[in-house]
Amino acid sequence: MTRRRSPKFDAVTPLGLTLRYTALCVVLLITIGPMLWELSTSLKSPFEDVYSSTPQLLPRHPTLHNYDLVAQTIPIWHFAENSVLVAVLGVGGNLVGATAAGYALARLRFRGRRLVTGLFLSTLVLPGEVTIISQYQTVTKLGFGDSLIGVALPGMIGAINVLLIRNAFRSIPDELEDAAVIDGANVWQRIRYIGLPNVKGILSVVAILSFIAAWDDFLWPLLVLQSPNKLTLTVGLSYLQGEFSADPRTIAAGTMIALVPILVLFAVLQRFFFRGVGEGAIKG
Amino acid sequence: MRTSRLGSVAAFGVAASLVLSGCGVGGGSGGGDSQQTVSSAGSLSGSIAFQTWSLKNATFTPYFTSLIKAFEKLHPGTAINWIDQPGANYPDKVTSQVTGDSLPDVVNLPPDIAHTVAKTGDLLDLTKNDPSIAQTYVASGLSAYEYKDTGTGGDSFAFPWYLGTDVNYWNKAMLAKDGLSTTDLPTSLDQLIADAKIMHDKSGGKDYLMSRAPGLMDFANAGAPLLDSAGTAFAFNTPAAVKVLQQYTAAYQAGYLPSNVLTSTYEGNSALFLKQEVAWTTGGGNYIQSTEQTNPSLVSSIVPSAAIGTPPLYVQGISVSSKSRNLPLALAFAEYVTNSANQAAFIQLAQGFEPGTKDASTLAATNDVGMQAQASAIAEKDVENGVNFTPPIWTSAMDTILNQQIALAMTGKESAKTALDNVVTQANALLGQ
Repeated sequence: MTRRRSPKFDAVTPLGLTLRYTALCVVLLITIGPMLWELSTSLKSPFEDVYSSTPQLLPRHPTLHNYDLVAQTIPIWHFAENSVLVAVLGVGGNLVGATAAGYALARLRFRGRRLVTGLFLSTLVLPGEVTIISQYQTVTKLGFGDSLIGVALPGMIGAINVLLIRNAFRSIPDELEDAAVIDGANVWQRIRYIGLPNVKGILSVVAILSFIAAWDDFLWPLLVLQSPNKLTLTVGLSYLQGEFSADPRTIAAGTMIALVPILVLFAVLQRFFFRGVGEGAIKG
Repeated sequence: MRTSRLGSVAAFGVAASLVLSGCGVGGGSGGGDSQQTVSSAGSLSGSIAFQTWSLKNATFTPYFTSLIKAFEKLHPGTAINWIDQPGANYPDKVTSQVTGDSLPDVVNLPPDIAHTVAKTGDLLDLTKNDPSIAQTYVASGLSAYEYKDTGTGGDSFAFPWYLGTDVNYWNKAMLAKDGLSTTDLPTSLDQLIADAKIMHDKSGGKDYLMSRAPGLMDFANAGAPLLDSAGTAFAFNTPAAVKVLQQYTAAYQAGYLPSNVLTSTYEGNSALFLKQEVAWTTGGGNYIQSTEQTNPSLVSSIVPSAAIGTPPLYVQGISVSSKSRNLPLALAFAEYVTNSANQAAFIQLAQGFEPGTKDASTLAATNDVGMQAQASAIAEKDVENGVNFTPPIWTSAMDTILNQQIALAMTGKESAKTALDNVVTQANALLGQ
């Protein structure tokens, strides 16, 4: 969409430019400030102060010792493996399950379609805290207590992801699919050759969101898991904060280690991600 | 202020009572009987699970490993499976264990979590099962686990394990800078406010001494009983409490407290103390040691002193699950963990804390040094006089009401009397639900 540019309103004045950049910098500072603080804390040596009224971002005696300490205190790589497994199950489950469900809700005609969509929507209203204990009982009764499957299972098809993908499928013009039907394509072929190529962006959004949800979740894995060797990274990292000893430097180092995979995933998928965010928003 | 761990406990009340009693999914129905007596005849055998809270680290892991080894050697044929839960969300974890029938046989619980579990009948009444309990353990610790609304009233549901309290910590350098004595420290609220005024005036309003709004503890300390005589409803809207709130209000309005103590940006007096923005905080007996980890350069400026008024008491106890399949072993191990010798050894690792048995403190020779030794000594005294102020029926929802009303009073939108009346009325209304 193009609009006529107004020489008056669109002119870039020095003041406007300064204001824009100031606003950008402020937002940047607010978003990445805490992360920078964690990073700098994780690099501080034991004889530097962590808390001060004006944060000291550059460590005076930078050290990687805290990262060593994390690995010595807890089996962090083993915990990370567990987290990766849960996250892979979560991402895979959502990509397959939410795509199938989203396509069915968007494109297939069957009895009670609206009802099902409504039910999906209504589960979004329930806060997780309300259902978590009954969910816990369900998972243990299924025999998945104290297992990584049990941790991943409830998050494998997210209602919000189904709705995101449903909306993305709906934004594909009907005529495209009608043409495919005339050419003799069945449902799976239509998903494969018409649907998926058009919703790549939203799929990467779903992948990132479900990865983050699985990777960052603390309460649910804490409830499900009992054995120390099955813990996920977030639960395992909390052992760094003991009752009688809580060194903010090692905690920060652990946090940074947990953050890296998310940053990597986002860097890889960001091209699709921003396209996907737009896709869900506008009905074409 | 308390650490995150104790803070998270407060959030438990509502959630747990909702889950355990409200929805009827509590595990109390299936076979657990809190009033049963455990036979002590015969030798111990089999295995049990033992759960601690946030104690798995370089300091305590060796302690528990050798403790368990010694017990297993003493009773051949037994096996103790030690698990430790992370600090965060412990109440939720325990709730899930209770509903899922997987509560470990022997479990470390603070009084408020133990209360919700005891209400479903899942904890063994220990007064019934240990005839010498009153002679062995400190009374203040035992009474923290006696609940009016469950059991037979005067029965304890845990063996007191380690006890903590609050000690005052002062920033010597800041006191000296603003012309206050570093040895003659405030011992009453009046002196505290007077010193806060001096600090405020001398520094031109830049330095603060006080940095927290009053709470239940301050009202109790002023002589207001928190509960009515039956112990079933709140009744702290007394003139004594009103006076405390008025004093705080006057101090706040005169600018002796940072303005954000009433807002959500408030970081807590301990955080402000570490940043050297305020010169006074309260903290656990190990506060100097933990500051050594976070802000080593501050340590040399800290001087400890005894709590103002009656110090608070924070208790950790060892409970036994009434649904344990091996009750004799569970009970024996719970007693073993909390016996004087083992408590004394534990306290040597836990600086600034006190044991829950009467004669363990004499066994425990502390190896603390410097100011931490002084703080530990003060903490020991504070624990002796300490009282567990917060009634078990006090929930986090009530805490929210209290904070809101105190904020209204301190900002002058409401009189202190109205604010406290409102808190008591609304909290009592919540009790009935």
